[in-house]
Amino acid sequence: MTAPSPLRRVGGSPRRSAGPALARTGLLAPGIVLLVLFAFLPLVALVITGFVNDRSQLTTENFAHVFSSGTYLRLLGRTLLLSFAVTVVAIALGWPAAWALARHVKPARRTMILGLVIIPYITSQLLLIYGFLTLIQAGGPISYVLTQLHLTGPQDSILYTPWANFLMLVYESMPTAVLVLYSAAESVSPSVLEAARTLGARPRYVFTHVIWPLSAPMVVVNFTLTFVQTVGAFAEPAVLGGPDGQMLGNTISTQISSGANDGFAVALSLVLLVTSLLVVGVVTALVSWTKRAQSGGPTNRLTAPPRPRTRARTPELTVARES
Amino acid sequence: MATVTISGVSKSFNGTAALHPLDLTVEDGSFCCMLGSSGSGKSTLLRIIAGLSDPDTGTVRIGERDVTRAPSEKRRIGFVFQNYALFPHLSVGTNVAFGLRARGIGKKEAHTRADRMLELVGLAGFGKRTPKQLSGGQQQRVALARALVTEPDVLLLDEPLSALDRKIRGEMQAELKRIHQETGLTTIMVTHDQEEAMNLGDSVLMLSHGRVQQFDTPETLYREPANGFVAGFLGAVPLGNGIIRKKDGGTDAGRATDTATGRTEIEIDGTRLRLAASTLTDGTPAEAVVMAERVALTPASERPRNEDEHEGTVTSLDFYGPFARAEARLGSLTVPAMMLSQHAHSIEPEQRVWIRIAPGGLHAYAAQEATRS
Ligand SMILES: Nc1ncnc2c1ncn2[C@@H]1O[C@H](COP(=O)(O)OP(=O)(O)O)[C@@H](O)[C@H]1O
Ligand SMILES: [Mg+2]
Repeated sequence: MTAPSPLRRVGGSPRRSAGPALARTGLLAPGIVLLVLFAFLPLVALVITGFVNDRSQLTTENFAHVFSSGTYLRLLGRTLLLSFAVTVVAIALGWPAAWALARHVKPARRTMILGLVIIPYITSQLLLIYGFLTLIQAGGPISYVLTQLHLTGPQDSILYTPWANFLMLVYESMPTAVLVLYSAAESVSPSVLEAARTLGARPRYVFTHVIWPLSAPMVVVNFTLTFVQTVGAFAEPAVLGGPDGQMLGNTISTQISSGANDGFAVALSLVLLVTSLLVVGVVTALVSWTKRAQSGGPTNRLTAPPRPRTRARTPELTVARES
Repeated sequence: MATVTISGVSKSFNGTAALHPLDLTVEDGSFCCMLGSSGSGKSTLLRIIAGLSDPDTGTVRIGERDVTRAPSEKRRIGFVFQNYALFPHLSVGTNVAFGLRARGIGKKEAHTRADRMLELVGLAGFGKRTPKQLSGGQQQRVALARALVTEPDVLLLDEPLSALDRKIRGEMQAELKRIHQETGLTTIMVTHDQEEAMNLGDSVLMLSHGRVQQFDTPETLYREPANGFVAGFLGAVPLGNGIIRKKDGGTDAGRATDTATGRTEIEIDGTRLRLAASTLTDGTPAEAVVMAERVALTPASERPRNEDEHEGTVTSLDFYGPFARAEARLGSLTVPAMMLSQHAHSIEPEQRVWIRIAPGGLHAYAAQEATRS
């Protein structure tokens, strides 16, 4: 987050023994081992697979295949765009909810509500998807109400359209959004907001210059988590999306389960991975740029640089050495 | 610069009154301290003046303006919070410039003025640091500079020094005093520390349970505490319950002074003690409180007893560095005495002493008033 302050370094112990360093390595070791075993090595294996064709030759033809076909690129574009929209909508819905929860709900009730928010997490994903299906299918509760209100016909439903998929993905992204943005809301102290107001800042200015810069890091975290998770979705589009609602994950899943061409499926996954990371990178950069722009940027070029504090100690040291 | 006028302001939370209807005028350019224990409603009142909280009834005026319905950002106030409330994502300089930038003043001018204000609070050259790199006292100076830079009509401070350690607090008090003198800004400060209130305030508003107990100059507050609560807050110790006795028939009206004709005493368990002044009439049941620093003990062996002294026995003696505190038994009463340690050498437990309670050291309040809180 923030760089360690030089003041604190002056105050701290000047010598660091080997003990703490060893302890730190020891504490990090399990994490590093897990990462290597379950993230790094599989990734290496994937990359290798992606560069091997069905005749076991080292080649780039899998990637060439991905980029030569408009179908796959369109699907990739749609997947990224849909995931982006899902993430933005989840954040937009989650933010006011999280803010209200952190500011306007009694602490005792807060715990209960946060518990309720987590329920989708501890429920089987397929159960959620089929639950949603029953909810929105023709003849289901929503269809019934809308029909009674003469808003739709009895056989109309968004099931098997991209909208069903979109809504499901938003729904699944809400717990993360509420939890992450709740901690963002908690990190903005009420008295800091009050201070801004007493200094003459109108609500809009308070949002752009205080709330947004303070929440931005958590928004980026939220974006990354939700976007990366949504981009890989395949069960939701498969069950709810219908022919027009398919995502790249479905193609990858089909390619792998058909067993015909693992290398091509992996190439698709890698392209998806890299483009997703690009999107996350661009969004992160954009957010930090707005944050810096609103904070007034590097400040105060008018003053002379502060005199280094350690300088003041020199005379004492000299005296000590002489005596 | 402005007079702050509060009329009939009250506030309750969930049906519990935090402030009972209250009037207060803080004169233009004066320094008013709101004093009271935790939960007495000080912050509630200050936040109502600042527009951070809405009163249930009453009006708030700053100068000629009725600001009761105005939002905080339109009141032209400076507010300093106990926890500093600096913007953690902004440098010290940008923190101070915030109020100017929010009012649409250009970056260059805002930072020039911010730097000048940092100089005023003794932090020249700290503009580029982040708040986290500063000590508590320095952070509070930044908060002060930030509140002052917009040239507000009123400066409001909510326990600004109570998070600081004792030594820094003393320095900051001097600093606040100097800045108040230099700027001539109407200032209202909340504190629960009576020494701080007396040191800084031109006037002190004593609050308890959402009611004004007394609003006076520090000297008057100390010399003539309006009731048992105020006296107790200023360190007076309950002595016991007794009956008011007016000498010479108790004919004197109003605030009795010890002229040759009128003199008020309180009789507790047969011991008669002279009161400084009291409006209480002859025969009223009252509670007496005594200020330990105005009680003097003299060893009986040193000299004969003076007329205004009582005979007693020392029961305990404790040292607190520069000060010492003794207790002496006077009849059935226990009288505390606070003295400089250097004067305590001749005192020892079980010793027979002459007890002298200085005029103004003993106050009496009608029994139910003394227990009112
Ligand atoms: N926002 C609030 N909600 C409910 N009760 C409050 C609120 N603010 C203050 N109170 C209550 O009002 C009373 C006065 O509080 P406050 O003005 O903060 O006291 P002080 O600043 O003198 O310590 C207290 O009993 C407190 O519990
Ligand atoms: Mg308070």
